Amino acid sequence: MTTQTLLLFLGMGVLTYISRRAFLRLPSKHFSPRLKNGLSFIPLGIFASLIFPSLFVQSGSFVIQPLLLIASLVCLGVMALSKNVFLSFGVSLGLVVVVSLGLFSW
Amino acid sequence: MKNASPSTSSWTEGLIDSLPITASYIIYGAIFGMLAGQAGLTSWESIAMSVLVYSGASQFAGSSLIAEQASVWAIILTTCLLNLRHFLMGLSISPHYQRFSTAQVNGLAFFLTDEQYALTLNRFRHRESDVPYILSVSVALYAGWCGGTWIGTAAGAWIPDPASLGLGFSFTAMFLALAYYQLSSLLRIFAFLLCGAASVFLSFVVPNGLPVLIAGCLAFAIGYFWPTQEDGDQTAAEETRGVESA
Repeated sequence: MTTQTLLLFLGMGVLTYISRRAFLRLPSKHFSPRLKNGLSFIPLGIFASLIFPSLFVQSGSFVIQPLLLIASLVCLGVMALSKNVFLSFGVSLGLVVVVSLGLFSW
Repeated sequence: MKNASPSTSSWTEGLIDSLPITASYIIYGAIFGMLAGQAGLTSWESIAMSVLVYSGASQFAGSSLIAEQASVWAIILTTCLLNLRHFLMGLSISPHYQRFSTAQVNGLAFFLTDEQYALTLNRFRHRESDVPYILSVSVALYAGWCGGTWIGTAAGAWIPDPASLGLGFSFTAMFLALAYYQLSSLLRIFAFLLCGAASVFLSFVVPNGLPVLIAGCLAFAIGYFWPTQEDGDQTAAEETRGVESA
């Protein structure tokens, strides 16, 4: 391993660390109720942004993938009925894998 | 430490809760190890990258840039862009880190990945935050990612294409299941759909890593400028408490 490569990885590591640490602890006096309400909405935006492009964007173009959309609804449906993260994860991923492998004619 | 049962159970629960994602991390770590090898990195370099950087997005982007002989500065800039989302993740989970010592926060910050964020945030909705839980989730995922990378460098081209197995859906399924708890009011469902649509659009026009940041800011703005009735009551209750204690 060359020194330059190691330095590059260290640089990437330090940058990543700084971005993770930066706002991880702000003094709580900065948190007004309104700010807290705003903060409680951030996960929604982050989850939406991690989920939707993975469903609708593939190799730079907009796609509708019925299997993934149905599996997503199944995931939320099982969640609504069971409130069990593992079960919802397992059932919806299982559905996608079974259909992808061609074990179940679509 | 038999008498420390709460923390012992936190350790175990952390391991169990992170199990599906640890499995996914092993697979994706292996894919990274394989691709990094194709990009010209040696086994040790690939493993060092996983150990030091520990960020899937930055590592996949970085190794493909290395393969294209991109400049060091292009790689650093890409890493910065991809990392912008962590600012918001840190900010949104920071209320749960208030009770930890500075040394603990400094240590735990290294492990703040998208999935660790999702798992720990979900736990702290109904339980008090504790270091053992975060640490056990973190170490399980970190070990999965680094171990997976090692497997990938060793196994080379034997790793099956996860897309053909539909395994790409594993992260989506986990995020969806965890997002369910966030969809507790019509306004929140609206914000979720709006941010999702915005992210899909943004992914065509801005570099990777930025859509998450922008969607997070958008969600924050909705929550900040449009406080819901339920949250308003909570606010009133908090203010009353404030008066009482004053």
